[in-house]
Amino acid sequence: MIARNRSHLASIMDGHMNRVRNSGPGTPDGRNAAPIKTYLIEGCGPLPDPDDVVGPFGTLRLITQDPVLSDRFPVRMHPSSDPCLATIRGLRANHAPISFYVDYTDPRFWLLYGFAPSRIADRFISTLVATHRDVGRTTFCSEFLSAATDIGSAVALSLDHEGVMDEEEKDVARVPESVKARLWGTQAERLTNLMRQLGSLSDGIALSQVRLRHSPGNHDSERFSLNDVRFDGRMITRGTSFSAHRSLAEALRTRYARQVADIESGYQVRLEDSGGVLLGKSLALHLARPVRNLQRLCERIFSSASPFLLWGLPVQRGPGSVCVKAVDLDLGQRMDLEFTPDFIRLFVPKETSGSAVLRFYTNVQHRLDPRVRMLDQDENEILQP
Amino acid sequence: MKYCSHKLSVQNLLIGMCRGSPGVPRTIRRMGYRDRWIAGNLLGRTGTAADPVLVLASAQSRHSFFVEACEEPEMDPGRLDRYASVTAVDLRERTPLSQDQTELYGVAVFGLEEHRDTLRSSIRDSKLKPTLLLRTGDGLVIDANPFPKVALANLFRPVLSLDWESAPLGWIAYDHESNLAEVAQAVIPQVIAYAAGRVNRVKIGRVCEDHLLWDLSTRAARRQMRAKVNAALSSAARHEFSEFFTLRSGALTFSGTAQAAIRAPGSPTLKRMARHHAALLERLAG
Repeated sequence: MIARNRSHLASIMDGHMNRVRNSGPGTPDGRNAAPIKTYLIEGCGPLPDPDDVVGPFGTLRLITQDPVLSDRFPVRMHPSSDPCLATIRGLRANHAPISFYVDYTDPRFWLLYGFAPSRIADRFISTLVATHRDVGRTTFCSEFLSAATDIGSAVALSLDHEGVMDEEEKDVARVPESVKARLWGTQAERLTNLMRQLGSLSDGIALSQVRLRHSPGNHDSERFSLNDVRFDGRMITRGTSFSAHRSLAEALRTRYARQVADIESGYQVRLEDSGGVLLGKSLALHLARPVRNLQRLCERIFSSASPFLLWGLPVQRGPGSVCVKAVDLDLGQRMDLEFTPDFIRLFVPKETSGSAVLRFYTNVQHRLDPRVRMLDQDENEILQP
Repeated sequence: MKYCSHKLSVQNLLIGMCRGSPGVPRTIRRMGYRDRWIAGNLLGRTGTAADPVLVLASAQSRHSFFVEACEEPEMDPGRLDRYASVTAVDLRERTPLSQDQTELYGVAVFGLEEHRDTLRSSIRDSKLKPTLLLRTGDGLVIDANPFPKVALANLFRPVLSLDWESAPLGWIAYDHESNLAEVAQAVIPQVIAYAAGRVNRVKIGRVCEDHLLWDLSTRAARRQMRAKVNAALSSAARHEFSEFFTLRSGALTFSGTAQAAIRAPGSPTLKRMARHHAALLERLAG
């Protein structure tokens, strides 16, 4: 369905939330009415050439006309009477089309709402971001998810740690380390903090998802949304009110945009316009567990594959140091990284988005060291929980 | 150090020390020293004597020193001469340095330990009496004409301990004096980033303009840098990267193979591209 304006979008989504609530075996909607998926997408990062800026609508139109995307997932774009809302419809052979509603009130960070099944929605979004340079996935680090609990009330938390990327390949007999847990209840956060301090989980666990009940203005209201906010920038929502979900999604977007802006203003390395003064600092990721095999770790990170999506040549400077001039393949931006067993230095050029830094940090939390900390030059935490 | 000259090692190290990068001593930062760059034409006139100059300045210590890195056995007198006519008024009025930072100022030459004797004699006759610091396997030592600020001089006595292999290198990746391997190490990822950003044709001039110090460089230094970037990319286009890009009329054009690979993260072609980058650096480093 194509959204004519925001209130029409709300009515489409409210109707769908109602169908999800009433769906199940034996109901007219069947058992598989999929909940709402919302993706926070970086829609238009800082560009090297000011002439390239065509605005979110223009960028969206370019994306939908891209032949590579059309090959994999033909799409049509439909503007609405609201200047910051459009519908994009993905056409699939022998299947009903899928719709995403793009809210680009913030010209850089877009919210894409849809209700296709997860597998199809994820595939569509992945194809979309892989096609065009001005759109990229966002990620929510543990500190961000933890802080999100003050917007809604947390009713469940998911934790995970998926293997360690610096293990020797020859050690095939060893089962990779991993932890996954889901805690329910309003006291889940207290239990999480306790688990993080346990000696038995010395390698740590990262917060991968938080379920937030949100009911703006009135916590007892029957108009609420129940949102699973995941570390990969995706939200899955059930409940009774789309506007409750939208207000949460917009609050998260604002926070994320601020986090990105803080990184860019403080750490992008550039020369002051008047000349002579170098601005920006290097970022440091301090690891709680020393890296066992730097070369192996770097080969995996810079293989250009998901989730890091980084291309680069690791250059060994010595037994305890590897440097890489990397390319973020998601947004087509550069980043210089220097690895030692205890810390990773990041240098962010002036045209590189803070999102690329946050994605790298979040992936390090989930794939290497959940207790990693991002510190400034005076060893203060950059991302406050 | 692999693909990194002594000059860039020293410059990056000092910037990192001023900015509190992890893994390097923070004492200089705590003494208030901050890195500043001065456009070459404010001090010199032409050629290499007109490079942008790194200066470490501290209002707290009321002192600044210009950084000269020397990989050769002897210091080129022309490089020191350009500081001879500089006055405190020039520095305050024409550079980002403040009055406090320029109460005392001088030149520090960072050389290699194996050139101690020749460096000593090449600076002996200089009226500037530059401080001579030598790079050793363990760090930096002060060898002649100590800094007038005793606390600063004492930092290098007996040695300022450093792990050169893990010192930061990310501030300034290459310059107009770099060898081709050093240039290629930086510019190949830079052009790949353009391709990843769906820019299929890039002018060499645009690659150069991305350099952090481009705006501070004189025409002569820019010409040299452009020639180096052109030589590194042209060599890559003729050999290891021939299937990925061509270089004609000062612009680089990506092949369909490169464009397709970059749209397919994790593809074998991207991995091959990284291997070819390694081969290019090995060849250029000789």
